[in-house]
Amino acid sequence: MFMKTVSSLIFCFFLFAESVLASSSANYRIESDVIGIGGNSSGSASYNISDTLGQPVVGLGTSTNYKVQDGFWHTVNFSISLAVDSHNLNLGTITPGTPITGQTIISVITDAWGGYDLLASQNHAMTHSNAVTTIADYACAIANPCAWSGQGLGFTVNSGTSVEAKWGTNPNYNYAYFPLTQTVFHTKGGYASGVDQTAVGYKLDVPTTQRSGQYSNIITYTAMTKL
Amino acid sequence: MKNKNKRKKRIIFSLSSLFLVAIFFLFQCADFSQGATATDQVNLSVTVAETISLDCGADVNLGTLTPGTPVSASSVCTTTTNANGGYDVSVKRDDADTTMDHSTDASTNITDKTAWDRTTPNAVTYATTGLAFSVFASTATKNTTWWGSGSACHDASNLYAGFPTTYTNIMEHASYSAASTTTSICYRVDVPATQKSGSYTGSVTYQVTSKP
Repeated sequence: MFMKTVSSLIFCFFLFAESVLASSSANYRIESDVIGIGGNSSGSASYNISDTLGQPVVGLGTSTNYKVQDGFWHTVNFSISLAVDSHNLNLGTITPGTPITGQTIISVITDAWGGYDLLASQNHAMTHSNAVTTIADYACAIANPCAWSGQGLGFTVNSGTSVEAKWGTNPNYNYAYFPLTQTVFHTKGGYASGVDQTAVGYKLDVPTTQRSGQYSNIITYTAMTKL
Repeated sequence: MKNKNKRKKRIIFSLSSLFLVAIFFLFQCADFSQGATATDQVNLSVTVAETISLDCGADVNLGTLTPGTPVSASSVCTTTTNANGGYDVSVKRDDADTTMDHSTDASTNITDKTAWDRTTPNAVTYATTGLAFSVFASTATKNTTWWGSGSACHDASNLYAGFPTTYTNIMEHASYSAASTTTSICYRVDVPATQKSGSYTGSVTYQVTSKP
């Protein structure tokens, strides 16, 4: 009898466990929650994973005014948008030995309760119109940005929400080169309504022997929701 | 005994059910969604300005000239530039009448050879008297049509011309050079036996112009 009771309780536990996913409007937000028998969030520098175990009720329920998505993460449907203030940024004319700077404002809107990651990459080093000569990348990587010294193209995070300490502060920013693959350079945790802006600062200097002329490349920014 | 077996069966059934349900949900867990993404791009551009510098070294003393026996000396002009299209070297004399004047009597001059004209070009083998110059070497570009095939200041194959009154190209280099380049200029002078003795001086100015 005892075992029957235990089995029944466990079964009921599975049966009624459910997940209520995030939903929001301009004025209200229902936080996400889950009832299950297990699960966790874990991650590394580049990846995050969130898992849930024992969540038997899944599906989509709707009425005239409400919608509820019950069940596992596969039903999650966040929205996110990203826009830069200008798609063409000319840093101007640089005299070798005198660094020049520029800035891009990245605007992100998302309903993800976990916030979002900002990633950046370049298609190649800044390249001369002769398609051969390049401007070197700055020496330091995103993982360990460093104070400006020397030459190359580097970037920093001038401002934003919860900017990581590694980027430094005005006027002592730390800089990193743009990698060739999308790499997280800033994480904005938690939900926030409205636009969240991040200012990316560029800095560039070249040696006196750098071939004169116009150089260009393409910087790609990506915002990815966090669960 | 019968009850005991029944109880045992129930336990096995319950545990099996629990195991199957757990396995089911374990597989379900693998069906996570990826995070939503949004992307935008910036076309980044910059123009690297041209820089250029010139160093033609110290003053040149041609020494003591015995009329009828020409003397020569040279300057080496070093140019450092990042110019994409290379650079030109030009020269002009700084005095209106002739390049070299007597140090105590400016009206007494050493005659210049026919002024350099790159459009002709008009440099010739040195002969008789007068002040002339030749570009006998360059690590950038030496134009042998202009200056002959000589490779040293005293080379008989050099072609000479007089200094022009306005900047005129004497070397044209049409490509980028990462390192400094040099242009070597030879001065050659002779005077007639009637030339007033004494010290003569004059100056010429070299100019480099970068090309985009």
